[in-house]
Amino acid sequence: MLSERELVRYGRQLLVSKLGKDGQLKLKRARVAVIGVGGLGCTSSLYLALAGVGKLLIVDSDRVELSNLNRQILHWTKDIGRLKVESAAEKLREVNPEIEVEAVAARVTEENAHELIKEADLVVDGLDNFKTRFLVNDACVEQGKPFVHAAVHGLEGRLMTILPGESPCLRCLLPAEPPEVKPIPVLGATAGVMGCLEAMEAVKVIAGVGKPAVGRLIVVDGLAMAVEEVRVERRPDCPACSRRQQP
Amino acid sequence: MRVKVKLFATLRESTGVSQLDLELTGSKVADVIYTLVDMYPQLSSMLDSNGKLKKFYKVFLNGRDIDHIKGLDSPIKEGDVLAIFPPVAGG
Repeated sequence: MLSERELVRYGRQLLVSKLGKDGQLKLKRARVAVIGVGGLGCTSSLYLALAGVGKLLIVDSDRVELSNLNRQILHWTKDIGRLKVESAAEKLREVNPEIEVEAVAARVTEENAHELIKEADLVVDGLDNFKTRFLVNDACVEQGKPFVHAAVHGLEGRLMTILPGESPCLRCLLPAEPPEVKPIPVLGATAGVMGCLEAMEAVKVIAGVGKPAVGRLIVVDGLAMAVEEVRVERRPDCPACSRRQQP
Repeated sequence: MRVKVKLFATLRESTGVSQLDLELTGSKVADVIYTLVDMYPQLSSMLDSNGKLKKFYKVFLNGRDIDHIKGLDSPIKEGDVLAIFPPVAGG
């Protein structure tokens, strides 16, 4: 059931074709884990909170630094030094008191990856390195959880949605882990655009509407203001998803 | 023959080029890659010590991953579009 307040709060999106009350109820019952509340995670978790996802689990071990503030919109100047999950959870709860937000101050490891996503219906990528992305990808594939991946560089963003058992996974796209290069150039707006697209994909998958970017890598080329799309296929030898049967 | 090449992220930054029409002799994706590296030696960062493309550099021929065609031996023809994506990790 949606309360009177929720019917008003979500009124505009209840009008969205195909989303409606059914979709809104699915969002309300959904639990989404956002792994990393940096540039991507701040924007995606904000829009998921605004959309009325019933429970948001946000995971990050870092503290807010001055150099984060060009893109990590839930962290403000007064938050420097605070845990990112505390800073983010405070804003998310304030922006939508109808939802539950759980903050976990942890780094994703091989040991805890499975546990962290266990309760989630869907996982959103807010990470900044492939080592951790692969851990989350593998846990999602193993547990059959949809995983919305995005990454940014400069004015460029990439997005792909993984539906375990049906689609290629992150290791099908990238069969080897690239070396970590830091710091990564990012315009705040790039992380914002891609975080919004992640939230849109998550809402679509949860509500069962539209066509997610499955088996497709979407490349947002901000410099040219163009969108490219390339086909991503399953690898028969993928170490993560090849053992999962296609339905 | 003439093919179109699109470069992204760090490859675009290091060459200052986002797309180019390449006139080349050859018949395979490898010929495009090596022609590019001759033109822009900084692109040799895509190759390992054996001259093979590093696995995390993704090359798409007309929108399809060359890993699912014939890798660097994938045949090319006049008018093909090759997009080369270095890994992008930021968040």
